[in-house]
Order: sequence, then C-alpha cells, then structure tokens
Amino acid sequence: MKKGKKMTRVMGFVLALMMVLGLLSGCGGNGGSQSSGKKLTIGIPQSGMVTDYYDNSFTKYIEEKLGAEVEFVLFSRASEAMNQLALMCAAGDELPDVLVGFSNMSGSLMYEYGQDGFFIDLKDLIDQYGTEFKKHMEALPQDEYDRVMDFITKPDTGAIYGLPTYAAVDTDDYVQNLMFINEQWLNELNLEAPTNIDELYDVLVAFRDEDPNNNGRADELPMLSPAIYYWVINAFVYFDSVNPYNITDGKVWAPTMSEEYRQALAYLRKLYSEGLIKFDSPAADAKNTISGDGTTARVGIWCGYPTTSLNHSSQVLDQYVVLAPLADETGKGGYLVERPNDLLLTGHITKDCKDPELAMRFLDICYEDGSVTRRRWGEEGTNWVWVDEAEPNNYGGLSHIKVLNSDLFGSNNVTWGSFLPNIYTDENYLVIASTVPGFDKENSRLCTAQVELARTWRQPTEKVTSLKLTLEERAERETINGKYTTTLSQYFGLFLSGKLDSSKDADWNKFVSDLEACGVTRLVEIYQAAYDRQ
Amino acid sequence: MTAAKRNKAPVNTLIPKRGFARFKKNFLRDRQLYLLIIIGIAPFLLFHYGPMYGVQIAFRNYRISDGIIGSEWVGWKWFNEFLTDPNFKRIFLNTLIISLYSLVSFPLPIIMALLFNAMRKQRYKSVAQTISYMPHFISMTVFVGILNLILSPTSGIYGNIFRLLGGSGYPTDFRTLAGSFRHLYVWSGVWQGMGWQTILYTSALSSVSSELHEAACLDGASRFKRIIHVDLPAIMPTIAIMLILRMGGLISVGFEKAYLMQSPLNLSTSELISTYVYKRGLSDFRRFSYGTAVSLFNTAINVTLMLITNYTSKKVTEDEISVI
Repeated sequence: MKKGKKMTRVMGFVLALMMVLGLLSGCGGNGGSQSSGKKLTIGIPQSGMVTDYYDNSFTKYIEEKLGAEVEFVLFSRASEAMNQLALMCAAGDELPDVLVGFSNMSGSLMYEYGQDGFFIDLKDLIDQYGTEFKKHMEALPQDEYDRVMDFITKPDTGAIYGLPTYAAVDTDDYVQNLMFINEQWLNELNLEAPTNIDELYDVLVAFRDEDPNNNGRADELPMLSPAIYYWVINAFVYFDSVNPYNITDGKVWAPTMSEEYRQALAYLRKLYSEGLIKFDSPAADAKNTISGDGTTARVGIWCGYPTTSLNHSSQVLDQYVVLAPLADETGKGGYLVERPNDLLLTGHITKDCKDPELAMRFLDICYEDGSVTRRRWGEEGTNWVWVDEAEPNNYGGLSHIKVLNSDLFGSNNVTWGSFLPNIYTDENYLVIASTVPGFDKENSRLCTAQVELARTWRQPTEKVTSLKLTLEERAERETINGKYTTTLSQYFGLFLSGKLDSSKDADWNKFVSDLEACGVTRLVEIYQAAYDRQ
Repeated sequence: MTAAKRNKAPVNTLIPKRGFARFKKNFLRDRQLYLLIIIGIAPFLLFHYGPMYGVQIAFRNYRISDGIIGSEWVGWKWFNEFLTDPNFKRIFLNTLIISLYSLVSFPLPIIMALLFNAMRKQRYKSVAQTISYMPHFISMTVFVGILNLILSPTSGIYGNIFRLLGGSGYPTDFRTLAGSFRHLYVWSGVWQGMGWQTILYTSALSSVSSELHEAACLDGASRFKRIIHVDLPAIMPTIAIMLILRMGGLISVGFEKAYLMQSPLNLSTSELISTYVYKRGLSDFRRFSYGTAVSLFNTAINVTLMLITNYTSKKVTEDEISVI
C-alpha cells in the first residue's frame, strides 16, 4: 500500500515535470537572442536548395550592409506561399516586416493588399531611401521605365505597394524555352530539321521506328511534353497560355475558339494516339527521361531549361540543337511566346513593420549591383569575382563577372534561392561564358542559339498584356480566367485522349459554348474596350 | 387542475420533474460531473461551433479589411456562380463517382480483420498486422511520389517489368490517363489505408466471447462457418456505425491526394470539388466567400446523405444502430 502511494507520487512528479518542460520548450521559439541593435523580420518562400538561412553568407552580407539583425519567417514554395499569406492576413496574424520573393503576386492582388492596408505605400520611402532603385530605374530606356512604373503603381491612387524584379537583359531565362532536337538522330537517319508540322510528323515517325540511337531497342521517345505542346499549338495560332487572347487588326479575339486551335487539337491528338508525343508529369521523371542512360539519348525533341532539364552526369546534351518554331502547312504561324516573368513583384513592406525606413533600406540594398550578382551566384571572392578584363558572355556581349564555383544549382548556404527585388542589367547579370557552371560549353551553345532565335522570330505586333485595365476589369478578369483555364485544361485532356473528337461538330461546339459560359466573350469585350480606349 | 396537481405532488418527489426544473435538479446534484464534461465540450465549442460564425461569409462579399460583419451581403450569389459554372457538372460528378467508387473498399478491411482473427500463429499474425499498418504512416506527398516512381513507364518498376516481359518501347502511362485516375486513386488508397482500418474491427472481434466459438465447435462448425456465423454477426453493429460515418464524409473526398495526382491530361476526371475550391477560392484571388460557399454546399450534401443512411439503418435494425 505504502509502496503504491510512493509510486503514484513519483509518477505525478514526472508528469508535472514533463508538462512544465513542454511549456518551456513551447516558449523557446519566441525567446530568441536579445541583441542591442535593430532587427528586421523578412518573410520569404523557402527554397529547397538553401540549407540554412541564418548561417548563410548572403544573410551575413545583408546584415553587414544594413547594420541590423535579420530574422526570417519562412513560407512554403512560391505558389503555396501566396495562400499562406492570404490566410495569415485573414486570421489577423502578425506579418513579417518585409516580404520578398512572393513572385506569384499579381498586380491586382497587390493593389488589394494595399487597399486593405496590409502593404504600405512605398512612394515617399522610395523618394527618401531608394537611391539604388531610382538609379537603376533611370538607367532604363523610357518605354521600359514606363512599363515597370505602370506595373507597380496602383492606377487610381498612384500608390506603390511593391517593388519589382525586372530583367532588363535578353537571356534565355526570359524567353519561353525553345524546343531542342536531337541532331545526331537527324544525321543518323539523313533527315533535315523540320520547319513545319507535316515535316515534324515525318521526323517523329522516323524517330519512333528507325532506332536512331542505334541500340537495337525501341526505347526512343520522339517528343516529350508537358511544355512542348504550346509550341505545336503556336504553329497554328498565336497562343500564350497565360493570356490566351490575341489582337488582330484592332480586334481582340480568343484563339481557343478559333478554327486553327481546333486543327491544332486534332494534330496533337494524332501525335498522341500514335505514341509520338509523351506527357511526363512529374518533373523529376522528365529529367531522367531526357538524360537517357548518360550516353545514349532517348528523347528526340524536348523543351526546358538546358541547365536544369538534365541530370548533371548526363552527356547527351551535345547531341541537341535548337529547333525553330514550326509553321503550319500553309506556312503561317510559327509564333514565339515570350515568357511573361521578366517583370515580377517581389518586395513589399507590411503594416506590421515598425521601422519602415530600415525595411526600405534593405529593399534598396537588394538593387545594388553587388547584391544582384550575389543573389544569383553567391559570395563574391569565393563563388565569383569581378575581373577588370572583360570576356565574351553567352549573348554576344562582354562581361566582367567570372564564376569560380560551379555548384550553385545544388544545395548551398550562400544565397536565399528566390527572387529578390532586383533589376538585372548586362553589367550585373551576365557572366563570362567560359565560366558558366552546369553544362559549360554545350549549355552556353544552346542558350546563345535560343536568344538569337528569340530576337529575330515572329511575334504578334500587339498583345493584350500591354492593355491597361481598370481595377474592376482586373477583378473580373481574374474570376473569368480562373474558370477559363480549368475548362481549357480539362477539355485539352479530353480531346487529346480521344474522349472527345475535335473534328466532330457536336464536341467542338460543346467546348466553345462552355468557354462562352466561363465568360470568355465577356473578357474579349473588356479587352476590346481597353484597346479602344488607348 | 390545481387539485389534480396537488394530488400528484407526493409522486413528484419521486419521479423527477419535467423540463428545465428536472435539469436544474440533476445539474445541482451532479455538478461535479458536469464540471468534468466542460473539458470535453470546450474544444467542440471553441473549434467546431465557434468557427461556424464565419460561415456567413458564404453569403457575403468578404473582404478582409471590412471584417465578417462589415462585408456586403450578397445572398446566394456565390452558390449561383458555382452552380452555373460550366465545370460544375463535371466536377460534381467526378467527386460523386470517386466517392461511390471508394465505397467498394469498405468491406475489404472487414474481410482482412476476419482473416487476421482467424490466424492461428500469434506471432505471424502480429507481424502481418504491423506490416499492413505501415503505409498509413507515410505522408501523402511521399506516398504519391512513391506511386509516381513505381508507375513511371520510363524509369519505374512498372516500365522495367514491362520490358523484362518482352515489351518494346514504353507501356501506357497510367499516371496521366484520365481514364485510370479513379482506379489509381481508389486502389492506392486501399493499399495505404486497409491495414489501418482493420484496427477497429480487430478490437471488436477480440471481444467476441470464446464460449460462442466453443459452442459452435461442439456443434461441428468449421472455421469458415464460425467466421460467418459467430464473428461477423458480432461485429455487425461496428460495421453499421462505420458505414454511417463513412456516408457522412462521402462527398468530402480528400483534397491532398487528388491535388498531388493531377496532371494536365487527367484533369477531366481528377478535378474534384475540394481541389477546385482550393484553386478558385484560395489560389486565384483570395475569394474566401466563394470557397466557403462551395464548401457549405458540399457539407449540406454530406449531412443529407448521412441522415438518410442513419434513418435507413434505424429502420432496418429497429432503432438498434444509429448515431443520432
């Protein structure tokens, strides 16, 4: 009896101890180290590449420049981070002082955050502390300057709720990735690179049936998507998947309702049903497929960043050359789609920031040339150096930045691994070609060819992206586009897999009427009105 | 009347009064017990009933800065928008079909639990049980990753087996086929959850009296007969309750798994109400009101389905088995 009582007491003590410890460990996170200096809390979407944000040479660099301690609130990847932010605001949580790297932020969303009071107006702060930002902005040509300012300024009040990342450089990062075709296979089969969709079909069939990689097995994949089908559609009609509206002779129209799009779907269906195009959904899987077994290529045509689309050990990249956009059978089409991400919103100061001056100084430091290069390549002196003697870069110019360390596409703790408010210029962004890490010469060759082609290839003269919409129109666009993209991708799958037949009028009309029900016609009217206003 | 009441007065002291007075009396007597209940009820009030206050944003045009009460009242606008959305029919059907299809997996854990229970070797039984639980503990993201790797026609086990058996080139990629999404979804779910779901049935089976089994043995019942006539009737109430609960969650198909398994080609079958709410309600434009309205619609259907099942169960079992 006595023993039992003692046991209970001991157990009680142990339990109480555990509860107290639990409480203490709960508090631990908030305690933090008390430093005498100032502190800036930065909210940033976490990158899988970065091993440590605190023990990080970019953090140290910023802390030194800023003269303040930096603390992080880590969000998830860029796309999910937007939801996290929305929920934090709705729940009334305290926001970090500054948000950087929320690259999925759209203009209208930012205006709304500003209007609701979650982001503060940076206009006066820029005037006072934004020296580097202003310096780089004023160095831009007038039309580019206007475009950036229009993008960040709220049209009705003129408030600026965010700072941009703008790529004022012509690099392969900022055109839509072109297609790459296996030249060795073409030579093996005595074929020319296809220039239109009929030739493409013949080449793909040959790739499939004639064992171009000479290993005696039918392991060739003629064409690998996901991104590549945009190129096939663009052979028929200009189709920008993010803004699927075109302007011809002053009239706005939706390419997805056009006869050309219908033909494109039929053509893709033909390729798909004959096993000429393959859709590899997970990115890691596509990477393995393109890399082949390291020496033998498996894929005829693919599309993506040459630097990151293959495993590093793979040697097959030297077999590929850039394939120019294709034309349809009449010689029309062959458009090139620009990547829309050369202008992003990546720096905001929130309502909970107690020291906006400090926050603004931080954002301004990001615009310094040294910071831009550090953001991308890491520590100066260890990862890259500034050389006085300029050498050619990949894009036909001369550069002063020499990259020493080539392992930055893997895990590191020398960058933050996300977009920061930067303005990329030839000076601070382009590096000496022979020192580009990754696939070195082969990679450079493809990048250079892509950019050269992108400079000369056909583009529509007018695009809806340059039209200015009012706030209400923007909100309506977001609503309509949400349904539009869902409907589009659902039908794309249905047409491609043969569940629906685009050559049958009934199926096609159903598709068009569903698009209309989403409000596509309404959005065309909105764009038309905006076009007529200008 | 007053006379009648007075007449009954002595009886009243024995039989508790009706309504509030009775409650009050009981409350005062059992106040310590009620105090204990608070611990159980408080989380419900705080985390389940409290947030229901916010459901009204389904009928408002909610803006964070205006607050819940301050936002403009728009009535059925969001419900209308959802019901007239051209995607509505397909999304709703997708959700319905996949949840009905998921129901086929309902008897499987029961069969498995009966089999476990019938095993003679105790050690073998517990090892098999533990192994069958394991997939349950894999996080959904990792689980879908494993599924993708296994099913990859180029580099996965599936593709390699295909080539090993003499196939040339690459087999069909089931991950991207609209037609195979539902099968993949349901049967991978069976693989992941079946072992775990047996737990409840196993515990119900362990309470079956061994006397019943002995009696059945004496009557010459075989092992199989004993499963059918002793074990199964014993766990029938558990099965019925599980079915009712399952019906309550019929339309709320898990969001993460479908979202992770989506690819551009299978969207026509893999877009469900939950993933659509996430995309249109959160990702697009912070349209919280729209998202809430769709979820509320979803919940209304769920509750209706559960009540129907519950009612049917009540009728069939003559008030024996029901949750409400």
